[in-house]
Amino acid sequence: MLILNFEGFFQMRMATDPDPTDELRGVSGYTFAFCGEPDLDHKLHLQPDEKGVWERDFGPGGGPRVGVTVTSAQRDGKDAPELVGAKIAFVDGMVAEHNGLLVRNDYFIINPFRVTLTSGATLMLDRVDNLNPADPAMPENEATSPMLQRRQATKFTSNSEEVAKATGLPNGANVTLIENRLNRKRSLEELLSSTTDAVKRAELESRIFELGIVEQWWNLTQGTRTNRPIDRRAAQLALQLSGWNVDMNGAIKANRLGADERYPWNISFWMGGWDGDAMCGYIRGTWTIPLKG
Amino acid sequence: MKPKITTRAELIDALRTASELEHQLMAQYLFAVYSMKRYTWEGLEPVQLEWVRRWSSSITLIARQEMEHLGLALNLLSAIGGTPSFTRPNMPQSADYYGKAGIKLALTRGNLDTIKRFQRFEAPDDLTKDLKEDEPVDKDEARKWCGRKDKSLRSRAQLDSTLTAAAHALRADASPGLVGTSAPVLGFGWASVQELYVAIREGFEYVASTLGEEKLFVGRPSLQIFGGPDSPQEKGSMDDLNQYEVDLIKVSDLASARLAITMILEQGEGIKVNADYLRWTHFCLFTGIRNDMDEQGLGELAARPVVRNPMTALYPDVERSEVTLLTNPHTIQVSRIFNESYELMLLLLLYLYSDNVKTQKEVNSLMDAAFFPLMTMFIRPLAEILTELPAFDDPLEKSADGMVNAGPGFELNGDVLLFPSSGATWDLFQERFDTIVGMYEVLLGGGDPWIDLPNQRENGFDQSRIKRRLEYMQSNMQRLATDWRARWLNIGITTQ
Repeated sequence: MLILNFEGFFQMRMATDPDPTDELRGVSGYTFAFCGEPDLDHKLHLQPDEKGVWERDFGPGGGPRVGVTVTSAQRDGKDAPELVGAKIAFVDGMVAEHNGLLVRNDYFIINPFRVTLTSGATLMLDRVDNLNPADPAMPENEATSPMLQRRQATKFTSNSEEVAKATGLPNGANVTLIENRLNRKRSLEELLSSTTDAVKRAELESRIFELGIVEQWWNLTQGTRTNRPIDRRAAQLALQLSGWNVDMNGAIKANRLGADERYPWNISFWMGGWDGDAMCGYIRGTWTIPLKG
Repeated sequence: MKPKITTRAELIDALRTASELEHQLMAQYLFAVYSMKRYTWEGLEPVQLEWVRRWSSSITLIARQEMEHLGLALNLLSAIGGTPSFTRPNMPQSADYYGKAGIKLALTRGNLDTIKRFQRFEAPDDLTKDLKEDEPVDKDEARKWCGRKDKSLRSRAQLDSTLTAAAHALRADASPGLVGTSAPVLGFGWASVQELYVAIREGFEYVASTLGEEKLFVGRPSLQIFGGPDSPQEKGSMDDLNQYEVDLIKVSDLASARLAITMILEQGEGIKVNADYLRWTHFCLFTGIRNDMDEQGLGELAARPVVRNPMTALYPDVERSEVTLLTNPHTIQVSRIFNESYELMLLLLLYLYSDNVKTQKEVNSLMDAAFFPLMTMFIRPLAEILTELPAFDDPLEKSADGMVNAGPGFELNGDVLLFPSSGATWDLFQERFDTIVGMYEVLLGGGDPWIDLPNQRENGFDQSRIKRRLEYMQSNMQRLATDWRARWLNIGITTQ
C-alpha cells in the first residue's frame, strides 16, 4: 500500500453567495475579481504555476501561498522520503453546488475530480473519478443521490482548532479570527501608502473595505452595537468542511509507482481555513493506493 | 390629511401597500444594477470598472434589504391575520401613483439620474419636505446628513422614541373623517415611506390597545419567513438567510411588530442611527454613489445603453407612453423566460406564507426552490443577459434617448394568487417548471442568434458567451424540474 499524506494552501477564485455560481467578477457576495485581475475561474488550484492562479500582495503581514505537497509517504509501511515534496493537483476541479441545485447547504462535491502526483517534472500518478462509472461523460446535473453522496463532504466544524493550527492561527476563537482580518487590513493599508499605481490602489482600497467587515453590522437584533455576530468573512478562517472520502474509480493516465490498477484508489481529505481576501483555503488529506503484488 | 389607522382591516390595507411598495423599490433597484457594466470591453478603464463594481455591490445589498423589508411587511401582515401578497402593478406608473410621496415607478438603467431618484426614495423626511416632484435631494444637505459624527446615539432606543413621538403627532394631526372609511391602499395619503411606516406603527399601537394584543396577533409565526437560529425554514444552517446582510425576524406581538418597523426605517432612511451605522443606510449608500458617480464622471457611462421600461406587451395598468416595447424576437423569448421564472418564484414564496403547506418537508422544498436557485441562478443571470441583448429587431433602431439594449421588465400577468385546489398544488408547480424547461428548449434549439453581438466570441468556443450562459441555465432548470418531480430524491447529503 502506498500512503501519501498531503497538505497546503490551495486557491479557488470563486464568487460567493448570493452570486450565481457562474459569476465571473463577483457582485453580491464578498469575493471579487478586482480591477486588473482576470475573471474568476471557479477552479481549485493546488499548485501556484497552474493557469488561473492569481496571487495577491498581502503587504508586510504576509499571507497564504499556494502549494499542496506530500508531507509524508509510506510504501508498504516503510517511509518513502523520495516522495516528500511531490505535488498534488486536482486538475480542473471545481467545488460544485449550483446554489442548492446540485447539493444543498454547502455540502460541496468536487467535479470534475482528477488527482495527479508530480515529482519534479515527472507525472507519477494520475487518476480520474467518475460520478457515473457507466457513463463517464454524464453531465453533473444528471447525478443521482448515491452518485453525489460518494463525492460529498459530510461535516462542518466551526472554530476548528485543527484548521487554526494548520493555517498558522493561534487558535480558532472568533476573537482571533477577527483580529486576523484586521491585521491583514492594516497590512494592506501599509502597502497602499507606498503604492502609486492607480489600478493597484483601487484593488487595495476595495480589499481593505471588505476586510473591515468582520461582524454582521446589519444584524441589529442580535448582540450589541459593538458586539454583533461574527461575519462569514472572518468566521470561515477556521471553518472546516470534512469527510470527503472517495474511492477513485476512473481512468488511470499515469502510474509510475506500481499502483494496482484493478482497485480503487482512496482519497480522503478536509478543506477549510477559507481566506476570502486571498481566495485561498487549506487542504489536508491522504491518498491511499494499493500496490501490485 | 394623513390617514389614521384604527382597525385591523386598515392596518392590513396599509401593510399591503407597504409590501407592494417595497417590492416595487426592489425591482427598480435590481433593474438598475443589472444594467451596470461589468467588463473592460464595455468601454471602461479598470479603475472606472472598479468604481462601478463597488456601486453594483452596494445596490445589490440595498436590494436584498428591500427584500428583507418586503419580508418584514409580509410577516407583519401575516401576524395580524392578513393575506400576504406579491401582487403589484406593472411599471411604469405616474409619479403620483403613491400620492404625495412622489415615488415614480419606472425601470431605468443605473445612471446618475436613476441614482438621484433612488436617493430621494430613501431620504429622511427632513430632506424632502420642500422638494418639488422629480427634484433630487440637495447634494450638500445629503452629504451633511450622512457625515454626522455622533457615535453616542443608541440607535434602536432613540429611533423607537422618535417613532413613538411621531406616531402620537400623527394621531393628533390625522383626519377623523378617514377613520374606518378610507382604504389606504386606494388613497395613499402619506408624504413619504417614512410617514407610511410611522402610521403603521401608530396603527399597531392603536389597534392593539382597542382589541388587545392577543386578539390582534392571530397569525401563526410558523407561517412567516425569517432567519436566525429559530427559523422553521433553515434552522440556522449554512444557508441561513440572515447571513447575507439581511435580518428577517418573526412578528408575534406588539414588541416584535415595533422592532420590525424600526428596522425598516433604521436601514432605509437612517433616522437617529449611530454614526457607525449611518454609512450603511440606504439613503447614505445612495448618497455616496451619487457623489462618487458625479466626481468620477461616470454618470452616463456606468450603465449599458438600456431602454426605459422594456416590456414584451402593453399592459392596461401602466403609463403606456413610457413603455418601450421589445421587438427583437429572441430577446422577447428570453424576457418571457425571465417573467415566467419571476412569477414562479413569487408563487413559491406565496405558498411559504400560506397555510396550504402542511409538512416541514414541503416548506423546505419551497425554500430550496425559491431562494437560492430561482433568485440567484435564473432570475439574476437572465436579467443580466437581457441588458446585453438588443431591444429592437431593427439593429439601427434606438429609443428616443438613444438606447438600444433590453432589460428585465418584471412583468406580471395580473395577480399572483394561490392555486384553487391544494391537492393539485405540487403538480401545478411541476407544470410551471416544465413549461420553463420547454421555453429554454425552444430558445436554444435553433442556432446562435447572439454570436455576432459585440464581444460574444471567445477563443476556444464556437458559441457566444450568451448562448453558453443560457445553456448553463437550461441545464440547471432541467435539474430543478427533475428534482421537483422526484421530490428531491437526487439531492444527496444535506445535513450532518
